[in-house]
Amino acid sequence: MVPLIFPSARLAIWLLLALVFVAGIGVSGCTSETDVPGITVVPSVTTTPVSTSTTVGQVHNPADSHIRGGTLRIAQASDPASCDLHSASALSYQSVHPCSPMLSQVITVSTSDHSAIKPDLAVTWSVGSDGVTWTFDMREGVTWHDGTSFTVDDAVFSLRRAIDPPAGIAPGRASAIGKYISDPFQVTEQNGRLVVRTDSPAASFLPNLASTYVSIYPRHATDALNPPSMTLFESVVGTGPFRSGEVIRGSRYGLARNDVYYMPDEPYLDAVEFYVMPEPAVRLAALKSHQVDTIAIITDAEAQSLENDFTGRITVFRTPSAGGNTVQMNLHKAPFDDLRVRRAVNLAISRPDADLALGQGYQGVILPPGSQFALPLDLVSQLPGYGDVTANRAEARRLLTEAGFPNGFSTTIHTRANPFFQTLSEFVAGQLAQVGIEVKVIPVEAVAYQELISSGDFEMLGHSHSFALDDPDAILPSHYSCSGVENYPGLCDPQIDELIRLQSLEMNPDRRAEMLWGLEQLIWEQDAKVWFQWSNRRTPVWSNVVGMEPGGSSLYQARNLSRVYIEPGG
Amino acid sequence: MTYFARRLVLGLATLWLVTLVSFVLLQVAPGDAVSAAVAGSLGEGGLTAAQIDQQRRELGLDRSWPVQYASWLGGMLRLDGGTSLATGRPVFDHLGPRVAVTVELALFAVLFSIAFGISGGLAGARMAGTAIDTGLRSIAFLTLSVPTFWIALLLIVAVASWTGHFLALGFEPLGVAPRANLVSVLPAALVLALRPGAILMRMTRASTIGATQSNHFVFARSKGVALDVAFRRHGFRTALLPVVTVIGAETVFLLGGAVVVEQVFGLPGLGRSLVSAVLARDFPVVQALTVIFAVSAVGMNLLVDIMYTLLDPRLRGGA
Amino acid sequence: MSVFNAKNRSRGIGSAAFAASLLVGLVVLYSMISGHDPDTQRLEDRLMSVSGNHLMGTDQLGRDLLSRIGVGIRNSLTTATIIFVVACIGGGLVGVISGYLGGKTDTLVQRVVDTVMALPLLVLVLAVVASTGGSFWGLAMAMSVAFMPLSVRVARSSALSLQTAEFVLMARSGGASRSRIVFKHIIPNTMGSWAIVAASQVSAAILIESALAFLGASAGRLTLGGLLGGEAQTYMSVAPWLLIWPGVMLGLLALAINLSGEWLAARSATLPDT
Repeated sequence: MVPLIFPSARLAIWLLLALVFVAGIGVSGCTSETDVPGITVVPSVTTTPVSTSTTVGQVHNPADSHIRGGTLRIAQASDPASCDLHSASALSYQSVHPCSPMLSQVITVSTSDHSAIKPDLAVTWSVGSDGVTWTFDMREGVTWHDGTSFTVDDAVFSLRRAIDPPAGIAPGRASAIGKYISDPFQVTEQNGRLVVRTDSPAASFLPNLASTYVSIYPRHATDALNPPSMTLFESVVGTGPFRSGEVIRGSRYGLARNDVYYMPDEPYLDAVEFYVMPEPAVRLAALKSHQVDTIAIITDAEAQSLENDFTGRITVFRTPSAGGNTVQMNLHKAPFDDLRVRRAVNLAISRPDADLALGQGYQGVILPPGSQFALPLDLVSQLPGYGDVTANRAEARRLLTEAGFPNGFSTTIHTRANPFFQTLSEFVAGQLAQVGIEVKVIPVEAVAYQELISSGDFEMLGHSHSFALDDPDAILPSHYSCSGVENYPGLCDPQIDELIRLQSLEMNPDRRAEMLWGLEQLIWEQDAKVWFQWSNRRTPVWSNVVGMEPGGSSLYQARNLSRVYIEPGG
Repeated sequence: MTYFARRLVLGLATLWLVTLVSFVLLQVAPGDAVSAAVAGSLGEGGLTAAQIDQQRRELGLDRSWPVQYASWLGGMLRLDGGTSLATGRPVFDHLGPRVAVTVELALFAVLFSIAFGISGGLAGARMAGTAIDTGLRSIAFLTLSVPTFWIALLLIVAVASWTGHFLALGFEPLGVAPRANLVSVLPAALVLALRPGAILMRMTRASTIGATQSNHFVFARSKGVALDVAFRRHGFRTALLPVVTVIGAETVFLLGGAVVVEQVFGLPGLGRSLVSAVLARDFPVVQALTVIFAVSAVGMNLLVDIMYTLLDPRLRGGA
Repeated sequence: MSVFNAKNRSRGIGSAAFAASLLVGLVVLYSMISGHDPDTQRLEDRLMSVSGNHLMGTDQLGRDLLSRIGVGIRNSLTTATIIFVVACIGGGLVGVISGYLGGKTDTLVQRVVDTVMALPLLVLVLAVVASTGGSFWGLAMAMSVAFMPLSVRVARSSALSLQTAEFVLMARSGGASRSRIVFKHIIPNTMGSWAIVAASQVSAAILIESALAFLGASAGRLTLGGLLGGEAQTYMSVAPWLLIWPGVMLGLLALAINLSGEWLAARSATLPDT
């Protein structure tokens, strides 16, 4: 007799029944309690080989109460595209997070106070009386992961490479320091020190140099590669706290402890595993079942749900993010060439509604709130777009009437075919509908969208930006100067360009702040790129992970994992 | 064997046409590898027009498309797939390990679907009209009607919530960690097997019932041959033809379904590579994948034809 | 043998097909009379669970999910219709004619069919979606092209086998014109096998369209796949209905189409019971 049903078929039926049951929950989901069916998560420490290693070989250090050993597990959406952080391929945070722990920088920023510059490979530094000659005393006795010694020449090589990458490698954010150094040969080694001569005095040179994207690579190991670029995760030879470990491309990227890291006793962890999980629901399921310790971005609603269901077990860090949500209007397309129309758009968007729809964020204008030079809140609140929503909308209607649109008008908003961008744009459309502007949202595939925004063939854009650095020089020229590559609205005002140039030269922070405040108000009054909300980053971390600082101004910054450790029994 | 020789030549011609069409399609789509690299990071840190032009020159993207295609084709004929525009790595190095993942996934899916489909189909035919038959047929219909990625997502989330067991912790190579490999691949293969399994079940059931109404079967029964024996002798053999047909016809679907299953389960297979390569306008990778997919489609067709002539001698010699 | 009673079977499947279609129809109908606009946002009502006012809850912008699903079903049905007309009917005609005419036309059609069959669907669709700026019609046409080959093949092989059939030969010797033979004799007799292929093709197309939306190739209009591929996943544990309901309705729609095809096939006496 032929077996009627093979065991696999029985399993399939069982699974189908399980899924029908899920559907059934949806049917009966009339109460809010049903949202997480029986989410009593079993900490499955013994089910995977990776997590068992967290309990092996941990040594308690009585001196500063941290624990040695353990593996930190992180899920992210995609592979690191490239670990050559000088290149344009490595811009995404999915590259920065796994690659940066293998690398060091000349100087770095503190993750808790991101205006504070900290030593990394440079121990001390100074600027000469001319204001343009920067001298860095480099750390001695540092070795690369391949055992060779780090030399000042490697730093010279890396900085020159960051400014002017070799053929075939598109320059990335690292080339930002090129703003201050027009010729790569202004970076030299003199008397065993690293010397950089900037074109003119520049207050923001140090914060820009402290970027993850200006990481230091070894000359010998880079030149040995073809092409000369540490694109592959496992090809990276750095001086960072971790070295590359086991890699299964498309699935997981392992970091192993660098036993000869120059900071004594660091890193505390034995290993870090980055798991690639493309789907958000899968990443969240991995977090909840404690297969991973942290994931990058979750919605506000999910964050609240985690805080309720996992009180004391998962902590959600909420940090201001250098980035936010914008609606951008093409200044070269009617009717957006009319300031009154643009102002009406700005006024029509309710900031409290944005906090509801897109997750609690921050108020601010041109520079990210919380950054050193951001316009103070009391001044922000007086600018168009803030204040009473009803009054704003009445004013918007008045402006539209004045501009010749008493009954509003129809327009389009292009956006990237990405779930969040689409929600953002649909939200904007819903807001503008309230003052009579009818907006059709057109989602466009990512690369086609990139072509579209650079060609300027659009009326409005719904766009979410994030910066790698909240420094004025990293933001203003690219977004608001006439030739800025991210100046999609096409704003071009000689006065703004001049002020952007001047603030960069101002060395006194207080005077610079005052200049910037004026500039921010000037740009804001143009209503071209309307930041109606600055984002809040929500990072859930299991509570047994100690010392994880998901802060820092940007998701795109290196995370310092060298002082992270894992409490046993989590 | 001139028939198969002719098929082979036609197959190669098809293959060449497919690579040409996919190349042109990618050329028609807006943007190239350089603008994709800029777009890939949410558009931040854009390049200036001069930098973009320089990149295009360095990657050879400033040449006309026939020249680019010819140089790609020339490379392919020398078995050189070129280098990925996104990573600068040789394309074959990049895809090699991924072929193994998708092949393993597809093989397990075929095995599951055969197990599920044939046993279910035979059982249904044997008990046609009973509640079990109706139940099996309903399951087959439901399975054919639900989106694979949806089932996969719900499965992972539901199992993680209810049992704490996580089904999608990435891939482990078969050679290194066989147990972990099976744990990572089998759930995905099971989901992938649902559709071909259901189709196979229906085909098997139909052809078996057809066979039981055939003269052979009726004659055998009338001679007093036990029902089960008659089934095995005359029912089972007929089930082989639909298996071959379905697997042939579903190969393309299987590879397509593998894309979403790989995406949800986080398996580093060819499907995910294809999605990211098209989005990155990384044409050497897209072309190589097109060749792989086309070879499997054309090859499967050829194989099905061969199997048919072997299983059913009447077809031999015919077109 | 009563268990093989085709009439009973056809009646059972017919009523199942009717029930599934009725459910889908009711949802569409209710969405049109419920008084909720699919695009109107009520942020204070966002992520609301199932209630009397919102039978399927609300989404992240406080829009009524049921009315959005209603629109999604209609758009998915439009896609299905386009694919049915272009791929199944068009492809079927091409197949019959190519099979009947034979010769150079047939060879050419076969080469095109082989090429399309071997081309990865994803490359075709993603390229078309990118080129047309996410046009609804562009996507539907690309899908139709991708789905055409099977209909061509099935229709062609039945036409080929019918060419030597007695009634065709008789008609020919009776002096019937070519087109008369094709339309009067060949097409009606290929309908049976074509119908069942068409139904499974259309339901597969709806499912594949949703998978493409899930992978980021959205259709430019609100579809069930778009609802599943959007932000729904990022609210999985607070608003599971955003993922459950569109999936259930998509399944029901595909089921209705599959069952209808099956019912047509079961009614046709010339076909084996499947």
